[in-house]
Amino acid sequence: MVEEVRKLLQDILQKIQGLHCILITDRDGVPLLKVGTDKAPENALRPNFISTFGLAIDQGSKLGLGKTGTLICSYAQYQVIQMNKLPLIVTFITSDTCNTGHILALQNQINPIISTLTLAVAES
Amino acid sequence: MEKHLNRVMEEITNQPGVYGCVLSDHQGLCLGAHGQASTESSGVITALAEQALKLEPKSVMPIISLENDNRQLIIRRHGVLTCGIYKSVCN
Amino acid sequence: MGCCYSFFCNDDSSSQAGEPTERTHLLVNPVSINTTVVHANSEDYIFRNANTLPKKTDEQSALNRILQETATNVIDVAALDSHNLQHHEYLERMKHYNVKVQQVMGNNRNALSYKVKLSLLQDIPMPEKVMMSEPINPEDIKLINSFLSSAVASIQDIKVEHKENLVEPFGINC
Repeated sequence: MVEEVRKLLQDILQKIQGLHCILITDRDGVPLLKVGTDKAPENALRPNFISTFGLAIDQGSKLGLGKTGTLICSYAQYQVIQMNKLPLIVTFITSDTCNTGHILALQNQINPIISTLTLAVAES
Repeated sequence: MEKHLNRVMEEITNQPGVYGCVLSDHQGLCLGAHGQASTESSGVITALAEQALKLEPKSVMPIISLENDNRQLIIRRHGVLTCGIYKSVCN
Repeated sequence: MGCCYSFFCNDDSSSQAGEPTERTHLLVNPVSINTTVVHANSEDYIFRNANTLPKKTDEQSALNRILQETATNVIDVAALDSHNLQHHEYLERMKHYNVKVQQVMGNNRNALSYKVKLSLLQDIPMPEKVMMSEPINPEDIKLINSFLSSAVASIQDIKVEHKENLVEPFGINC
């Protein structure tokens, strides 16, 4: 079953131009599922980079706008789009020109996978 | 500021048969949606326009029409803008 | 530097209620439940508390609560990089997850399999009928073109209207 899910993610990866990597991790950035091309920058996959999201959304929730849902970081060459699915974090690493709206629309598609993976974290 | 844009979208939605429209930028982020169109569709609409352009890269921006028995979605891109119009069709 | 105070946090608590974060107390403070912190004159508050029976601890815990609440409301940018996972811990957890994910996915095979379908399209009977239909009628072309051109024109209108100062003098006047 894991292979099938991985294939689905791989398929998404191919369909969206400029999408380099999909990463489903726990709160501390430890990966549960990871698919990516070799274009994904190594540094952005490091757990301490990804786990910063968890801390940032805690601070962000104090802005009075409610719970943080998505964080889009736009860099010169890359975009990092992270979704709050706590206890999981979903990270997309894309090129700077990638279709951000399309990535955001993927949420519906990956939600069933996320809810299943949440069980893996919750049970431990 | 965006009043003008809202008015344009309202006018389009008031056309006969049209029940929604959506407008997105080059990154697929929604600039505006009116009527029964979700802001989430903007990314997919931009992606469709992009893929369709790849079929004939040298020609002008194509018009894409998606149809089922009673509804139609028309998409066209111009420069950085992509717009989609949702229409109901009666056959 | 790097900290600013937020007044809005109380509104937010409703949306996060029931969801434990690292700020949720593991043990509920029995005093803090009974004492609701009023944003009135703090001297008043202490005075009022002093008249009630368990004096010292009550006052202390109320003050602690105020302090704690303030600390939670502060947006602390500097604290962002304080967390680090040990390498061996990381590897261990990754191994653990590998096994867990296999297990969970296997258990939920039925729920997942139809959602993991790769193609949304289905075969249609009599494709000739669809193929032969008119691609798009001229009215629709006119409609989308007019929408697009007026949208492009109105997009030019969008610009940032400068209304307030970007930098506010904070806490000087009061």
